[in-house]
Amino acid sequence: MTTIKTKVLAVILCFSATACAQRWGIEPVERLPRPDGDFEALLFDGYIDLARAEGEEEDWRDVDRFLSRAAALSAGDLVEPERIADRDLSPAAAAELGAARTRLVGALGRGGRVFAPVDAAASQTAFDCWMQEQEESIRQADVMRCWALFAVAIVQLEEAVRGDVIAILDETGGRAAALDVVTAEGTVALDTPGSATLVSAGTGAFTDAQVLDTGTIDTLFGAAIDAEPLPPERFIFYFEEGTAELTDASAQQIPALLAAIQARSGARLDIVGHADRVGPEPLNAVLSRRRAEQVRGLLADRLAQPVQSTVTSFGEQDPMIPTPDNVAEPRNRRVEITVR
Amino acid sequence: MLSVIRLVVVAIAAALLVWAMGSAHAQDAEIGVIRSSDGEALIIRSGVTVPALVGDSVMGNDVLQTGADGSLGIILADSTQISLGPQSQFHLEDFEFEPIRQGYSIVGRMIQGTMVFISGDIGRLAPENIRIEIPWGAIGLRGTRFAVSVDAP
Repeated sequence: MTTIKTKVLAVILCFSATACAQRWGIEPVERLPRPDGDFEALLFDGYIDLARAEGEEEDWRDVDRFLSRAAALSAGDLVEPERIADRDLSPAAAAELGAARTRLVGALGRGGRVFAPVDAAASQTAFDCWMQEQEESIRQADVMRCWALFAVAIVQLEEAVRGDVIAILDETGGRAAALDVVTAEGTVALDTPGSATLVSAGTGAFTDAQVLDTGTIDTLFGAAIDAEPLPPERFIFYFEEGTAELTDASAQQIPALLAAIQARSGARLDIVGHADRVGPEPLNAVLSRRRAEQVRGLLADRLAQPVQSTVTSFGEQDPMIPTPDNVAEPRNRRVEITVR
Repeated sequence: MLSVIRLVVVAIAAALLVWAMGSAHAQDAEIGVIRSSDGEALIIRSGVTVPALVGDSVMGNDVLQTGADGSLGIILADSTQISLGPQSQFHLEDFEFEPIRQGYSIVGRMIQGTMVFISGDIGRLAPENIRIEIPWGAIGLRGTRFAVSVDAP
């Protein structure tokens, strides 16, 4: 979105070459804050260099294009390799550059910007250089120079991102995620959302923990994230003392439980019964079982189709609130139901 | 000193016994359920390939596989959620969830493609018993939701 906006701005400013030169002079852009990321900073430098080269040829239109890209990077925008449609190319050149752009976008999408910033910035700089010289097509040597730079850089970038990426995602449940990746070369710890490492194919060498932007996470893992199953739902039903009779409040939860089951084709139910410590332990074992069976029975009565379920019971052995013997504790008189 | 060594040996033997029982158990019982399935989504079970349909069982030692247009999501018995993107293959080598005798294990091998893993009860009770192998290393868990991308071999 922001990229488009920047481009529109540049086009408007470029109706007259003098306006371009005034607005996008090389020195003012050069003095803009250099972007934070390694990739963005190196790409910023690359566009300044390209602008300077075109400035020597007095090609103000392309000076402006490169400077507007540098300015966008300085502003924190994501600047993608130039689009094929944005240049006036012969069909053959468009096909060749299109294939090159697909390779480049693929390698950038695999985390190239983060894991191999030097190769990634060199590849994108050379690609945009090639696009510009190809459109200009004044000196074949200029086209070949940019093409050769790209050919070398893209191979290095593709090699650098060949391997396995492990990333920690945002945790919706609120608990911190953390893991260790162990390879022949050692161990890298990941412990913050977005942090990731790339383990190189063949060697097990790994990068330091890097933070992946959401765009890269989406490119890499979007399809697997979209396939995430509906999370399990857990219910706790409470019971009157010494009976398998639901409390009124829990009875009111039955429709929500039925809805959770009906929302899942082929739902699985795990039903686990518990008792408090009032009365002898063997009786509580029986009571906790009866409570779990009671829940299974009332669900069976209300569901058109049978649901696969497991029923287990722990008597007074697994209290939610630990108590001394013979203490009545309503929160321990319960059945826990997981819908998967 | 001697008694300490014996203690260690006994502990290892006991651990092996539990592991053997867990494996035997895992192969003939349902350990999870297919919760999402799109495009080419398959299960390879004892060398036989069958479609992975929503509501179907996941069994111990299953290999989950997706094609170029496929994706797949499962929930294991401990509420661990695993989903695969396209062109992926994941071998669920060992799974045990027996809270009564505290038998907890998830061992999987990511062969190719992308996976998102959201840990469940085992991740909470015994995260050290979760191990996901990747071609050039292994992931040991200390937390909950992560993702893996593995190049084609």
